Amino acid sequence: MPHDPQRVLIVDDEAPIAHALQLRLKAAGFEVRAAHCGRDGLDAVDDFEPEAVLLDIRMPDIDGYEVCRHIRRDHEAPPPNVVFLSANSTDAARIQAREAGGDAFLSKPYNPKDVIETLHRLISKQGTARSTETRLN
Amino acid sequence: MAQSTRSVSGGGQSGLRRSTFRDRFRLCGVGVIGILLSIGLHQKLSSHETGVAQRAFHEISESRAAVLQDEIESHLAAMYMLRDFYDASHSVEREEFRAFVSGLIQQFPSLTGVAQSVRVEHRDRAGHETALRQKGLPDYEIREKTDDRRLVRAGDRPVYHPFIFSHTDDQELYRRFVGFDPQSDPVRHDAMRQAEATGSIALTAPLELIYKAQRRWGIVAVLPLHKLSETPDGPPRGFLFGGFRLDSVLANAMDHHRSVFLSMSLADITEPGRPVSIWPDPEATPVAADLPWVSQTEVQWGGRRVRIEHRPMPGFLASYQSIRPIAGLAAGLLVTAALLGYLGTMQLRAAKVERLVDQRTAELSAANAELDGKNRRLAVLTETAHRFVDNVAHEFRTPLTVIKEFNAIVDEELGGPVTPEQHEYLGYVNAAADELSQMVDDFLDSSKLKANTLRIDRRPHHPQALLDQTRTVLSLRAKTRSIELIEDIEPGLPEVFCDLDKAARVLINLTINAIKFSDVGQPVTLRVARDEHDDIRVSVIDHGPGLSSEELELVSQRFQQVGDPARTSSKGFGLGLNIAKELVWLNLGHMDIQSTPGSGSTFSFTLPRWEPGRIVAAYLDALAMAEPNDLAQTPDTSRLLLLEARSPESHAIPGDQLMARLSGITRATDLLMVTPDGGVLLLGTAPGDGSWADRLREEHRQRLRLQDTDAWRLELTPSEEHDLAADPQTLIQTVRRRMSADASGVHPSNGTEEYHHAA
Repeated sequence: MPHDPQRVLIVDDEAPIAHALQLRLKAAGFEVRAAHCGRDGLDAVDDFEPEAVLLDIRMPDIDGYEVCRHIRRDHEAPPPNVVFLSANSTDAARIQAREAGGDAFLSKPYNPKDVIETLHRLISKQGTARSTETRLN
Repeated sequence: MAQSTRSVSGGGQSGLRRSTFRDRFRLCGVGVIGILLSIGLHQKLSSHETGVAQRAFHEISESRAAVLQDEIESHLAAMYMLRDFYDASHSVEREEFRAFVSGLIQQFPSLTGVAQSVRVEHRDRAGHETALRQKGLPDYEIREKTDDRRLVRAGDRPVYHPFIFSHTDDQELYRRFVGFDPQSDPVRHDAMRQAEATGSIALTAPLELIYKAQRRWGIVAVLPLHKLSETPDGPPRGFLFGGFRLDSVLANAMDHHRSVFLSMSLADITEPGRPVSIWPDPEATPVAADLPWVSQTEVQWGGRRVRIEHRPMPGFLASYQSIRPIAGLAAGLLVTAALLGYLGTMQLRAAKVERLVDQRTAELSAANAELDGKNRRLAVLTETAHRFVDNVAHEFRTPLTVIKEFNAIVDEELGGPVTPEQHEYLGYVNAAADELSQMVDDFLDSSKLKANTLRIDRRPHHPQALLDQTRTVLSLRAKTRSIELIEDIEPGLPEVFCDLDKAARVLINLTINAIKFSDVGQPVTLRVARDEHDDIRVSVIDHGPGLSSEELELVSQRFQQVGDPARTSSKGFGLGLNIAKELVWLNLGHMDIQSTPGSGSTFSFTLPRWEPGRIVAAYLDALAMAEPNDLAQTPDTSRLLLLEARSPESHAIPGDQLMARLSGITRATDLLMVTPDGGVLLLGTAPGDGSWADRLREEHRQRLRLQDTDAWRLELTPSEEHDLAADPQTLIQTVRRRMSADASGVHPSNGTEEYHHAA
C-alpha cells in the first residue's frame, strides 16, 4: 500500500495544459489520468478513484464548481482532495471554489512547484486522516 | 452624483404623497375631534337633564304620596261624619240611616257601603232577634260567615255585634248582611278590637269587597260608637263599618295628580315580613328598565302601615328631555363642519400649489429618470467593460500558461536534452511570458481600481518585509538580463503603514521597468531609507539611459494626479507605472522620479511611518492630491478619519450638522477613522453623549466592513473648532496646520505599544 503511486486526476478542457500537468506529475511520481470535460472528469473519479483532483473552472459542459459539488456529494469515502486551478483568480472565484468544497486554489499561470507541493501536502494530510480512521475501526 | 439626484427626486415625490396623506389625516383628525366634542356636549347636557329628571321624579313621587294620604284621610272623614250623625241623636232609625248614607255615598263615590252593628249580650240575644223580627225583618237572626263564605246562624258567644243597618247601592246584597256578626271575620274582628282600643278609626287589612257583583280590593274602616252619656272608656254600644274601594280611592287621588310616566304601587306592610300588595301588582306595571329609581313613602292609615312606592315608567325620561342636548350636538357638528370646510378649502389651495410642485417634480423626475437611464446604461457599459477585461485576462492567461509551462518543460529537459544555447533562448521566451503575465495582472488591477473594487488592507509592517516579499520574483527577472539586484536597506527603520501586497506590486513594477531599461549586466539598486519627513522612501535606481527632460516632465506631471489611466501609455512606461502610482496613492504615499539623461533614473515612492500624526497628515495629503471628482471615488472607502473635540464649545456645531457640511466638500466617510479598540476620532464636535459618533461608526463599520487597524484621537482646540464652524472648507488646512505645528497633539487613543500589539 505505501508504495502504491498516488493517483491524481486532471480535469481541464485545455488539452495542452492537461498534457503538461501530466508530464509534470508523472515526473514527480504520481499516477496521473486526464479528463477533458466535467462529465468525463466525474466518470474518471468513479473509475480511477484518485487521491486528488486538479480541477479547471471554465469548461464547456459543466464548470469546475459543479464538478466539485458532485464529487463532494457522491464521494464521501474516500473523499478525493480537490485543487482548483484556474486562470480566473478573483476573490469571487476563490470564495465560490471554497463554497463548492475545494481544498485549495491555485491560479494560472501556475508555478509547477506549488502544484506538486500542494498535492503532496493535501494527500499526506488525507493519508494521516485515513490511517487514523483505520486505527479507530 | 446620479445617486444623489435620484434620491432627491424620489424623496420629493414621497414627500408630497406624505404631505397629502398628512393633510387628509389632519382633516380627519379635526373632524373626529369635532364630532367627539359635540357628542361630549350632548352627553353633558343629557346627563344634566337626567339629573333634573331624577330630582323631579322624587319630588313628584313624594307629592303624590302626600296627595294619596290626603285622599285616604278625606275618605276616612266620611266615617267621622257618620259618627257625628249618630252622636247627634239618641236613636237612629233605619230610614234615617239609609238617607244619610245615600248622601254620603254620593259624596264619596269610593265608599261601597256602610253598616252599623250593635252590641248584644248573649242573654239578650233572643230578645234582640225577636225585636228586630218585629221591626220588619222577619228573617232576622244573628249570623256568622263560614269558612266557605256562607252565612249561617251564629254560634253562642258572650257578646254579639250584629249589623242592624247596612246600606249600599246594592240593597239586596246588604240586606243579606243584616244580622251578620263581623266578629266572625278575623280581618274585621282585628280592626274592631283595634278601633275599640284606640277609640278612633281602624282599618282592616286589604280584603276583597263585592261591589256591583264584582270583587274589588278594598278596606273596611271601623269606628266605635258610644252612647252620648257613656264615657268612651266603656265598651262601645256598636260599630260603624265603611267599605272603601281602593282602586277608586287611588284613581281619585291620581286624578288630582296625574302623571302618565310614574308607576305607583301600594303594599300593606303592617304584618312584618309579609307585605300585601294593595295596588297594583308591581310586576304588571311597565317600569323603565334603564332608570333604577325608586321613591318609597310609608304612611299610617287607621293603624295600618302602608308603603307607597313610585317607579318611573318608560318614557318618563323622555318627558324631561328637551331639545338642548340635540341642539348642542347639532351646534357642535355644525362648527366642526364649518371648520372642516375651511380647512378643506385651505387644503384645496395647498393641493393646487402641490399639483404645481408635482408637475415640476414630475418634469424633474422625468429628467432624472432619463439621467438614471443613462447612468444605468453607463453602469452596464462599465460593468460590461470590466467583465470584458476579466475575460480577456482569463483568455490571455490560458495560452500564457501553456507557453510558460512547455517552455519550462523543455528547459527542464523533461522532453529530452537541450543545448546551452537553447536554454538561453528558452530564457528569453520565459521572460517575455512573465512580462506578458505581469501586464495582464496590471490590466486587471487597473480595471479593479476603476471599478473601486480593489480592497486595501493597511497594517504596520517592517520595511524589510517588502524586500522579502518581492525578492524571488525580481531576482528571476533580473537573472534573465544578468542584472544584479542590490538591496540597500538603512538599519533601524521604523515600521511603515501600508498594504504590503500593494506596495510589493509597486516595487515589482518599478523594478521590472528598471531592469527593462538597464543594459545587460548593469546593477539595479533597491534602496529603503528614511526621507526628509522621516517617512520611508523606497527607491529603484538604475543606470540606464535616463529620461529626457521632456519625458521626465511628462511622467512627473502624471505623478501629480491620479485617476487618469487613459493618458498613460507613453512610450515604454506601460500600464505598470500607472498602476504603481495609483497603488502608492492608496498607501498614502507619493511617487517621485529623478533622472539624468545618460546616467540613469531613480523611481521612488514613500510609505508613511507607523505613527498616528504622520498617518493623518499623509491621509490628508492623499486627499489633497486627488482631484475633487476623484474624492467621490476615493477607493479608500474603508478608512474613516474622525477628530474629537473636547472643549467647552463642544456643542458649537452638532456633529451631524458638521458632517452634512463636510459632505459638501468630500464624502464624510473619508474623514473618519476607527481605532483598533473601537474608539473613534471625531471630526468637529459630537453631541454630548457621543451617540452620534457611535451610530456613525456602527453604520460605517457594517457598510464598509471596517478593519480596526488605524486609529487616532485628535483633540481640537476651541479656536480650531471655531475655524471649523466658520468655514468647513478650511477643514483640511486646519488639521494639517495642527499636524505640522504640534505633532504631539495627536495621540494614539491607547498608546503606541498597544497598537503594535493590535497590529
